[in-house]
Amino acid sequence: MQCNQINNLIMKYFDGNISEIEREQLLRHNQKCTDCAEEFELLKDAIYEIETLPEIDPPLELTANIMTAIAEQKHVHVNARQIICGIIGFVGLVLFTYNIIAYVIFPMMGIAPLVSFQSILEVIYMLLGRAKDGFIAMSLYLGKLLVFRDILFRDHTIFIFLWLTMFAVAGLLLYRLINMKNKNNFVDLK
Amino acid sequence: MDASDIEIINQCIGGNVEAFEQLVERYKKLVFNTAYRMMGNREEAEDITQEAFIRIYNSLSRYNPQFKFSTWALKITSNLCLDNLRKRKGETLPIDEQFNICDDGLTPEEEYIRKEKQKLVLEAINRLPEKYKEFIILFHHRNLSYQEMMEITGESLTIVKNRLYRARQMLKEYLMEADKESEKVCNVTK
Repeated sequence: MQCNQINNLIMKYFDGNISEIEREQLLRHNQKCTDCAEEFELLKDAIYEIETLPEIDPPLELTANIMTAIAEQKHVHVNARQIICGIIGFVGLVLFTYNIIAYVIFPMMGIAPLVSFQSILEVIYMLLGRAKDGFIAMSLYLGKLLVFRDILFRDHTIFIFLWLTMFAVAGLLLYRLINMKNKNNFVDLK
Repeated sequence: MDASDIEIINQCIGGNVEAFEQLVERYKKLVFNTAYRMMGNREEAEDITQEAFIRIYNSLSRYNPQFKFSTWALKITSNLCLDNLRKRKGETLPIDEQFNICDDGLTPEEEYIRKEKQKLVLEAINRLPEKYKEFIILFHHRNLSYQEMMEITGESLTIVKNRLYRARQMLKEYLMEADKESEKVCNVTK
């Protein structure tokens, strides 16, 4: 038996699925071949060491640490500091929007910066209206596109199929071309 | 105390955080020892154990009862270890020695030889690329089956077998190198 075959048997031995016959072969070969025997003993020793590495006890406070970490993590959602930050942020955003509307949008539209709450509401309402119009226009456009697609399919099925076939044929040709090139490369190598 | 894993998990999902402590108690040794052997030092192993249990707690609802809980816990642990090993690439941390002692009533001399051997093996393991290290430790130190290895690593049977093969091969090469080097040192001192 060759040494590289024996190597496979050695691996099987450590996998734990070696048969009796193979085990015999391995041992017999090892009696004759000192190299293989040495390698086998080396690995056997090493794996024995790994298997018998002692189990060590984790530190006593580990469980408590884990449980506190989990408990703290649960309270993250009701952190007082975060609530305060949230409120400050919200107030800031409202003030910012108010100032933008009163001192940028109003003057641009020629409205005197007479800032009553109602006028701001009106502007917001107008903006919402614009957004709604835009949304409707977009939906209509999409609908038209879909209808267009249906008509295409209904009336020009044959053209679409021809078009697709052309693509398929072109792809196959390209594929063949590349393959032939590859073959030529191999010819060069030989 | 004798509730099954799945019962405890259901309690935890139902909002009973304290129930999780039982799971931690049950599996901390497994998780900690695996992390310890992967990382090679106690501090990192502790951090990883803590992190792993937090992750386990947060994804309890995604636990699939079809697999053993230990397998799932090991999967999370080994993934964390791999991440950490990748992060610290290049820098090798020292291996703790004081926790590897296994007293079987050996004489001091035998113990010394055993320790030296262990040191060599541990060094060799630490030189392995992290993927291979994981396989050696899970299979040989934790005595897992192929099935469990497949579930933990998410690889096919062929890949698992191949990796183990390669890992052992590399281990053997490293150990042989170390042997040669120590011989050289001996010759020089002579």
